[in-house]
Parts: sequence; C-alpha cells; structure tokens
Amino acid sequence: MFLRALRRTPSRVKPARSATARLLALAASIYLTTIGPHGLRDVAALGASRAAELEGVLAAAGAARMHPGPYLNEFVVRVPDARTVHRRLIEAGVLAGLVLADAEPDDPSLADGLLVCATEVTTSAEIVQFAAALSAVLGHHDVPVIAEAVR
Amino acid sequence: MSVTGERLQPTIFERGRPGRGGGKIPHPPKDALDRLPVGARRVTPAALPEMNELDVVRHYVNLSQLNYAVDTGFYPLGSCTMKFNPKLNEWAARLPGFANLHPMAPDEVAQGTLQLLWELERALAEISGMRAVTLQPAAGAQGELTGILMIREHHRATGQGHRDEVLVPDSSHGTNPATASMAGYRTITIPSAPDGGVDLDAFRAALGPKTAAVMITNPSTLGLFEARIGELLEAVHAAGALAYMDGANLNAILGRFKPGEAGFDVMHFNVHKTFSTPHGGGGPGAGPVGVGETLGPYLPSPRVLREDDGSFRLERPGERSTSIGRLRSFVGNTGVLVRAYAYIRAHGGSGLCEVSDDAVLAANYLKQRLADAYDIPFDRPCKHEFVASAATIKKRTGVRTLDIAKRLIDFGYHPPTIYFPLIVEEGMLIEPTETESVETLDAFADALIAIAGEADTSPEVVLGAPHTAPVRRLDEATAARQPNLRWRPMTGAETPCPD
Repeated sequence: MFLRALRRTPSRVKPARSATARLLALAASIYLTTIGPHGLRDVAALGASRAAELEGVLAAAGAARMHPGPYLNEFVVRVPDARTVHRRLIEAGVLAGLVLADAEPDDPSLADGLLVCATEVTTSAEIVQFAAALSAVLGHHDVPVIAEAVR
Repeated sequence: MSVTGERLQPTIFERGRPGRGGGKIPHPPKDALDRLPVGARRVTPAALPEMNELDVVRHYVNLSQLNYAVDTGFYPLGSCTMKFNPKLNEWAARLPGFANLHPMAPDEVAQGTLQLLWELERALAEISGMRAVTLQPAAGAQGELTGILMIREHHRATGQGHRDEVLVPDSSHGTNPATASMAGYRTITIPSAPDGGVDLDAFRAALGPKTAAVMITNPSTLGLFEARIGELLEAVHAAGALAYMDGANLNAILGRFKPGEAGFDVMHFNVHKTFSTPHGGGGPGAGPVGVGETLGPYLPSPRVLREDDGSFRLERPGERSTSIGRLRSFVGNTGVLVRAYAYIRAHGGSGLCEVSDDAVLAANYLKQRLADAYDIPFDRPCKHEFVASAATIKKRTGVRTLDIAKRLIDFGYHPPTIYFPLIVEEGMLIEPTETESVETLDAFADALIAIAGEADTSPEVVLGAPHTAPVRRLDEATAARQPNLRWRPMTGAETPCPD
C-alpha cells in the first residue's frame, strides 16, 4: 500500500521513523506460505526426531538429561563444570548450547546444566561429532558406542 | 475505496489448494512426535495455504510490484531520505558468519561481529565528532530516547534533577517532543525565525535554570543549515543545559560539519537515511547514538570493549555502574549495522563527503528548476532537501498540494512528503538524494511543471488523480480513524465468515 506514507504525513509523527520490523514479518510470511501446514509439522517433527537422537548419544557420552518431563527439541543435560566443558568444546569445533550457570545464575539447581537443542537442519553427522567431542572432553573414549547409539 | 482490480490479486489463503506444495521438507520418521503427550500435539493442521514454490514466488514478486520502491522509480520523499541501498550491503549482511551468528554466542566465537561493531562505533564517532557511540537503539526515535535518558541521568547525577524542560523549535520532527515527554519532560516549542532558522532571541528568552536540554535538527526539516548554531550552543551551555542534535539530516553534512566538534553533547544517527540501510520495507532499523565527554559514562550497556591483546568482548552485567542500562536486547539490530558498515567502508571519508555534496547539489538544482512554477518559501541555498509550496496555485485554481501529489503518481513518481513541516502552507518537502541522474531530476521537474499547467487548463484531471494506480484515491481519514487491519476469509462474493 504505497499511499500509506502519504497518509501519515499530515500527522505530528514524521513518516521516516517507522520503527517496526516489517521485513521480518514478510520473511516469516513467505516462509510459512512456502512450507505450508504439513511442512510446518514436518519441521517440528524433524527437530523432535533429531533431538531424540541427540539425547541418546549425549547420555551415552556421559551427559544425561536433567529433567524427566516431555520436550520437543531442546533439553538440559547435566555436565559437571559445564562452563569449562563448553569452552573446550568450542576448541573442538562445537558450540554446545547455553551454559545455564551463566544464563540462569540465580538458579543453583541449574549450575551443572547445559541447554542443548537440535532442529530440522541438524545432521546426524553433527550429532555424532558433538557427542564424540563431549566424550573426549569428559575423558571417555567410547566413540564407537556413540556411533552405534546413533544407528 | 474504489478498486481498479486488474493488478490486484487474491490473498495466499485464497490461492492455496489442498495437496499442493509438498516435498520441500524431508519427511520425518512417522513416530517422531509420538513421545510428546497427546494433549500437546496439534490435532488439526495449521490453517496455512498449500502452494507450490513457483506460485509463492510469483505471488510475492507481484505483490512487491504493487509497491513503489526506489529500485523501480524516483522517490523524492522529503525528510524520509529514500536512499538507494547498494547491493553490496546486502551481500555483506548475508555473509554466513554475520547472518548465522547466534545472538547468545559467547564472545570467543563472535570476534568478527564484535570487531565490526567496534569499528562502526569508531567510524560514526569520527564522522560526527562525538567521543563514543552506542549501536543498541533499534531506530532513530529510540536513539532520541536513549540520548534524552542519558541527559536526564546526567542532571540527576550532578544535582540538577529539578531541570524539567526541553526546548524544541517548531520545525522539529514530531518525535522530538514525543521523546521529551516520554522521559518525563515538559516540552516548550520555540517558533522559527522568518528565514526558517532558529530564533536565537526566542531561545535565549526560554533558556533558564529549568532547561534540561535543547533538541535541534541541523540541517533543519526545511533543509536549511542553522547558521546561528554556534551562538545557540553557547547559550545552551551557559544556561547549564545540554544540546541534543537530531541527526536525521546528517546525510547533508557528511565531511562538512561535525556536530560533536560544534558543541553538541549527544546525537542520534538514522542509518537508513545516511548510511543506506533498508528503509521502505519498514524495518528492522538501527539508531546509533553518539555522545561527547559529558554523557560518556551513561551510555547503555553492554558496550563492545577491546582488550589489550586485541580481542573484543561485551561489557559484563554491572561492570559500569553509571550506565543507564540496556535499551534493547543483545547489541542492537546487527544485520542492519553490517549494511551501514559496508556503506561507510565502501565510500571512505572522501566518498562520504561526496555523497552529501551530491545530495545538496541535486536538491538545489531541483529547487531552481521548480522556482517559476511553484512557490519557494525560503529562497536561499538549501542542503539536501527543500520546501516548495502550491499555495499560489491553490488560490488561483483550487488545486491543492494533495492533488498534485496524487497526480504525480500518474506520471510514475512517488510524491514528495506533503504538508510537512507543518509551518509551511500547502508545502511539499522534496528530497532527491545523491544518486539520481540529472535526466531523472529533469524528468521529475518537467512532470511537476506540467501538473502546475494542468491545474490551470484541466484541473479536473488533477483533482481526480491518480488514474493509473492499482487503487483510486483512498478515504485516508477513515482509514486512519477506523483502520481495518484484519483479513477474514470470504465464504461468498460479499459475505465474511463468522468469527
């Protein structure tokens, strides 16, 4: 509607200052139109599927989930000294989610927590790489077990 | 509203057909969602359209072509600076390292972005003559608020908290008084001098122990440089107040005038107006703020810091107790800032100076071309924009500026800003920007002159315009007072579905 700017000009508000994020709304609209209702469900289901895969291999690598409830595609794993582990994983080429000791410093129950997730674009190879690197950082060397867990 | 129809098209919801458009997402395992509780799973699919990708592309490309854009035509919307966005900016912003960086990524994996932000702050400080810059605000208006909140904090910290007035000229952007009010100040509007500039005596009379700040746009919204700015700033500081510069028109003075060196204490930058970030799409935007020495301690946190070893990091929570705090999540709209950075680096210092010089030249050229057909209320050299007026045409023919603006649409041009600034009768604020060729400027001037002629010879053509746009003249008052922004599916030709 290219006349909108004209419509606004007589008001006290100068037209140049529309501080919204309409390009983002446009991008989201085009995305939703492109994938459609079934694609949207598939995106969610793929992320959930990859996350279940991730949960399995991280547990095998020594980092089990912290909370028992249901989740879609992100969950917290318990990793002692998560901050140090997180930093060493970066050296190994893995950005291992969020260190909850930093993100939620006021909740002592999360002090060992690492918030991780998988999405529809996470690959099985990346999941194995993450688990193998974590296993190495934690001093385990059971990478074959991890690869098996993925299968 | 009357609709011509042939260029309009159905909505995506009307175009979708069941079963179309699969195959874009790999199929997940059938049981992928079975581990979720039944109650958490969606029973019916979302009511989204099903379309194949080609139809989606055509739909949105065709919709985009119903919009006027600087990529399709001349867009002289004064005060808005509908500046060409070089495609280089888009390339830079889409580099995966910038585009895919998570905002919560730790500093050690965000060094490139942090360095870019740090360098952009330095570049903006150099351009403006300010000491330090924050990139956090999401738009110019939020930048204004950031600046005024820092001024308020400074007065409180120095025992001057009783200062509760902000002075603005009557030609100011509407956001200036709005910002002052938001920060709890009383706004006092000072009339302009007859030449369109600040009325120094009126400001002096209003300045006093209750003045917290003065907000000035320079060049002004009339496109005029405030020649008395030095005297005004001296008077402001002598009264113990601070000077805010609305940097909306910085695009006219790059390399020629440094607000910080002139004595302004704080200013914001509209990166879409000066540094060619996207504008017409409606955001996201960015409104960095520069400060002089006085306000440096109050800058929003976190700032980007450079360590002795050359690495970069964000300020930690609580590290600088004088800060007014956080204005926006994370460090601002980084994707927009990457584009501004690309523009600045692509031009360099001399290139940016040329940008402003060319913008000023184009505006003065157009002003001269129109001077015989239209009133030019302030007939002295302008900066990047100027005000023309159809007041005489209206008296003679009844054709108003609004009608002329609508008629310009038929000639293929986006109309200029009209009836702004409010202090000019039948005003049109014309801003050609620096990138238009002389042929484009001439063609636009010819169109405006032709319309002025039509006002005499066939006023009904002008009064009935636009004739070629996808929609006719809209009922703008009703649209503004009773906006109907919700689309509802139609069950028949006229009957909306029940809610």
